[in-house]
Amino acid sequence: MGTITRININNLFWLGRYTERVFITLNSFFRFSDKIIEQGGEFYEKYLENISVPNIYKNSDDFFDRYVFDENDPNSIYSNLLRALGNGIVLREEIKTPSLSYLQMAADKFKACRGTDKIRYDLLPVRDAIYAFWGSVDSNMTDFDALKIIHLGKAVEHVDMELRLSLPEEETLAGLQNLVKHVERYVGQSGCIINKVALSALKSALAAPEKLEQNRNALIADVEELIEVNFLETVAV
Amino acid sequence: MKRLRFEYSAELTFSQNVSEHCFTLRCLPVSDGRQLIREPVYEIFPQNGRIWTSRDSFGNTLLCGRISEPHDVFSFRVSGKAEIINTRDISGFPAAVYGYSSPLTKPGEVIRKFYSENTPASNSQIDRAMELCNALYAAMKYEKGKTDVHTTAEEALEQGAGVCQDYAHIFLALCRLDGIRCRYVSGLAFESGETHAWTEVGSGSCWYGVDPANNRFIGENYIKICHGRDYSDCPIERGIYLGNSSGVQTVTSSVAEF
Amino acid sequence: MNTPVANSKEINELLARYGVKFGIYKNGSFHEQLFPFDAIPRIIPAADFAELEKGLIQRVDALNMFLRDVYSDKKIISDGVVPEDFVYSSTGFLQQCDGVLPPKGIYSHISGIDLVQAKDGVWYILEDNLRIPSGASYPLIARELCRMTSPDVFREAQVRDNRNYIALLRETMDYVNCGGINVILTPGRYNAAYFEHSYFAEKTGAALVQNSDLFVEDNILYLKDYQNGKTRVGAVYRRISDEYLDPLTFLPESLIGIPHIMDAYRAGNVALINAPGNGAADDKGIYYFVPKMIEYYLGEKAILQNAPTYLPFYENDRKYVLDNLEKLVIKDVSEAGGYGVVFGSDMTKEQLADWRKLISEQSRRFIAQEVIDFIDLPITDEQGNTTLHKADLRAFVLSGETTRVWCSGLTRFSRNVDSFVVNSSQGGGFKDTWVLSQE
Repeated sequence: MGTITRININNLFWLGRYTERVFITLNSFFRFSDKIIEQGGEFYEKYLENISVPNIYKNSDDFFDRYVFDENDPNSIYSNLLRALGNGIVLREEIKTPSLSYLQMAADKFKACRGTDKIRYDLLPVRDAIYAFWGSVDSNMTDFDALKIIHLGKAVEHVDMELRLSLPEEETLAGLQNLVKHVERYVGQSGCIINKVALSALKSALAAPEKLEQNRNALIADVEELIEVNFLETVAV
Repeated sequence: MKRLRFEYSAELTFSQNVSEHCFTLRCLPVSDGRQLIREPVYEIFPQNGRIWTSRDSFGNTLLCGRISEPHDVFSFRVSGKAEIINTRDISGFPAAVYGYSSPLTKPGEVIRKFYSENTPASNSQIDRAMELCNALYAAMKYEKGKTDVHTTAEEALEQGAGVCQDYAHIFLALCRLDGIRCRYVSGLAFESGETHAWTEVGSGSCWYGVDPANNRFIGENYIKICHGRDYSDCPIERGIYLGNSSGVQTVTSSVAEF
Repeated sequence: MNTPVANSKEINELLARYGVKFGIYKNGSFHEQLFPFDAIPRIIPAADFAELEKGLIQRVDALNMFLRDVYSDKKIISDGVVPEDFVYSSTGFLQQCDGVLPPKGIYSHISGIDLVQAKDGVWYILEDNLRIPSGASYPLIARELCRMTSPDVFREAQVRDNRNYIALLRETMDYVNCGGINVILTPGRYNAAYFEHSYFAEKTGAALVQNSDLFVEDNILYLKDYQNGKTRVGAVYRRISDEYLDPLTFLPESLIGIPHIMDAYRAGNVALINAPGNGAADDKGIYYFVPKMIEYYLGEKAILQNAPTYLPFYENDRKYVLDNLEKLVIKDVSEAGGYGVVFGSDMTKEQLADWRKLISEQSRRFIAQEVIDFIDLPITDEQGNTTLHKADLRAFVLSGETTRVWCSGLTRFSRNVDSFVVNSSQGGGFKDTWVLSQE
């Protein structure tokens, strides 16, 4: 069994988060692009508002191009995919080459689709590659502690995005349930630090599902603060 | 023979806490063919670190340490007794590497020109070295604040001023141009005050202590702490730490006969 | 024997998929590039390789003996075989390593020896890389992929399997390990060879670490884990250069080194692969003396030849160099990589005169070599046409309990048809190197 270093913990956690972020945003974007067939392109402003991404786009065409494909737009789906890949690259020996290759394929395919007129169809292989990535880490990783940290990142991001995107409440609650379970079972041994106040707030939210809507913003903050991954950075001579 | 009691202490004060502090101290004088060190004692603060000894390839004894916990003051203190049993170090045949230029003694145009204008006329290596020492002493002005520990021999001679370390570096550069093996020495030489830097010139199977800043052979009250090809091989304290902090060092030392 | 693999396009796609890249800095920012692969392999017949193998083992053994000697008794100097000057004035000689005997007495565990084959078939040694030679991962993974795309070719051709490199590497680390785990120390993600570091860590099971993961106490090196526990480290396959290795011994400004790692190494508690100070044996000035070292230490004639080299330091050589400057290549021994290399044939009359003066004045600083007209290898371009490019071979020699030559190697070719530069950062590509198991 390998030794997980402190730097790796951080990368594992964010690998899970970014990969899940891309996956959920992609799905949500797919639903949105289906709707605009009836509602028209200008509907994008409402979409951005929903996902709390600043509207820096000139028009609908600009949105479709930059929000999806522009690596210089920090909110674009592609930027998030590159962040997932960046974390994967420094974890090759943990997650294994096949798992990394799915992120690499997703990124390469994504880049090649820029300018398409059938975005949902062309980006399908990206989603397939992400599914394959999750299958691959589960099958190939030999260090289960490391695997649990990736899944922890995934669970955090999942709830975070569902809350932000106002997805159906039962899905959000299921995700929240999963996150709380994951934290209570595994995180104690993972090297991550749990914010106990945030954890108990999430548990109260599960106990009172009817208040989900009114507590939404507070819950987002609690999810964001749930896990702290600390490590020392600067060195001076 | 002369008996001396010595003490040396240094304190490093940081502007903010530092942690993961790793250091190497060349602060323990060792016995050789000229000096015998008795009852050496050292203390390092804070005391919650791990301290161990090591040795470098120049033969210096190292005190190595690692203090993980945050601290804003770091200090060390060495004391002991020394017996000066000889005027020169008769313990070894000078190694060839001391005949080659090192990072801080690499000659440039200024030193080469100075050497060609002051090429010694004597036959013996020691006499030749002292001729170079005389010429250097006449050309340099002792002045603090014009140089720092990174100043090269070439830079110091070019500005014509510096402190004992610079005198030593220029002298080493000149000797090496003359084919003489020689090395840099840090040590204690004064009743009170700072540490001193001088040199040793190899001849036959001996090292002769030469103090270029005072233009003379070293006296009986000199206690050597460490040596190298130049200062960069053997700083008394060298450290690295985590934290965005600058350090201020104060040093006190004393040598007294007893 | 002509059954080349023809699937360059497919294999390049697979290399992209597996993230087989190298990083370069262009205009101050970091870029990752694919290392273009050409599927037509360089083929080395069994008998040729047997000869190369003998010569490489002999050479690396002598280089290891030389390193052991110059960092201890220095007999080769006192016996007048190598002038003192060439050791102590070399920037590769580290006084800080003097008197240190590495675990099992091995200095160069992984040696990358660059060779070229002249048009008459003779192999010449171009240079020895005994510090941190990189590149073995590329032909290693390429072979894996070629077997996937062209299984029939490998069924027919009698090619020796090169996939034992990982086992060789692991055995080498294990042999010198002083107790504890093996780690691969990388300067990080933005190093040119980061792919190789992470790939070797994955395959050998060594932990991939950066400096802040390691610390020394009581002259023992430890790996910190995330729970603030510590695991002893017995061998470090370090991919950072000597001067950055330990900020308390070498460059104080190094932020990628490990304080006190040199003390742990000096105390014999950890193996550093390769040993620090190996530059004393692979610099351009010392290259000239390698055949003499082989005779001195092994009592044998060198099996593999150096490119004919002259040292202006010696009077006879100087005279030859000055008389024949227009057909020689001049190299500055203090410069690394492709820098400080000039061809006499490119010089004007005035430049030739200037160079003659410089060489006469600073004879220690330069070496001169005959220009070897080395063979071209066929490359298929995107249109499917075959063109000929200059190519060299980096052979990998691993020294553990015994010295072994990896039965493959990195064949690099120049980007332009008429260029002699085969460096990957100059836009060239690589090929697999096939060693045949029988004629």
